[in-house]
Amino acid sequence: MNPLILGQSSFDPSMLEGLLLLLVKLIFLFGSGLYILFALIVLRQVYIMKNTITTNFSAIILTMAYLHFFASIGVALLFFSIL
Amino acid sequence: MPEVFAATNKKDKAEKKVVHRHVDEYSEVLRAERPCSNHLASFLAKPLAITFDAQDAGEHILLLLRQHPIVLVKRFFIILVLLLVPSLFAGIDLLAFLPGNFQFAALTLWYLMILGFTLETFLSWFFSVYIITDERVIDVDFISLIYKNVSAAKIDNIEDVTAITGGVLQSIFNYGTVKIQTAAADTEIAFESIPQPSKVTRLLNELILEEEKEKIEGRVR
Repeated sequence: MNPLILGQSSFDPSMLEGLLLLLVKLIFLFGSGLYILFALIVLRQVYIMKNTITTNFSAIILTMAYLHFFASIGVALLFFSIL
Repeated sequence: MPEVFAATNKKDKAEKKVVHRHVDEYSEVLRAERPCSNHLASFLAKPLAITFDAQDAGEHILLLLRQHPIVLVKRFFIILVLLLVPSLFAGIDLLAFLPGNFQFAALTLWYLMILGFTLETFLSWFFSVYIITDERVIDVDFISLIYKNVSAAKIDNIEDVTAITGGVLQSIFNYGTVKIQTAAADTEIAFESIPQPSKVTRLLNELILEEEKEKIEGRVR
């Protein structure tokens, strides 16, 4: 019995594929997490700038920032469910 | 003797009473402009319903400036190209090695990042403003999401104002940079890529003159 031949015969390519997909999944989840952080910074900055300069348009920009933030959360949840 | 003293005081107070003229009375530039209510414009003369946090009581915003929208064209094309990338590479099928749900996730993340880039571009443009009031010039730089810089100089401290317009685009679309040299510690304030730089320079000169007149005539604020 040659151990090398034994090792080659026990190698399962689907396991490697599964590991790679898990890695890609983790990258996607990490990416969406980072994006939520970015959206939160945008929201915080809009609040700060809204107080720095007050215009009639500030409310619309704040709404946009909130929509962006919720969209980023929605995408993260989507990734959790489909991946 | 006390009566005479009191009378003199009253006279002084009457003389030093605040008489601050309306901008239309001394500025030819702003007299020709109508109050602007479009808050997305890049040249807002006598803007309506706009205030800033460091605004003093009785201080009026005369002009609010943003970079000329033409400077956004480059970014607009970048966004357009980024939006088209998935369609352009559809034939090659770069993500064919991934299952369908992963391909969908990649596409979603791509478009979300473009949305973020677009929002950041717009916010940087919208909140980076140059304000000229009847007392000060204020430069609010919203450079990135985590860096903000606000500098201000009193009109009395302005020593020199220079308008620079160079290049084909700047000449065609009438925009450029106005450099304001001040006597303050932060010696220069630059209004970059603003529309109608010569008009802004003329307004600043009118304001400097008015401030000098106020000092001479004792019209103190």
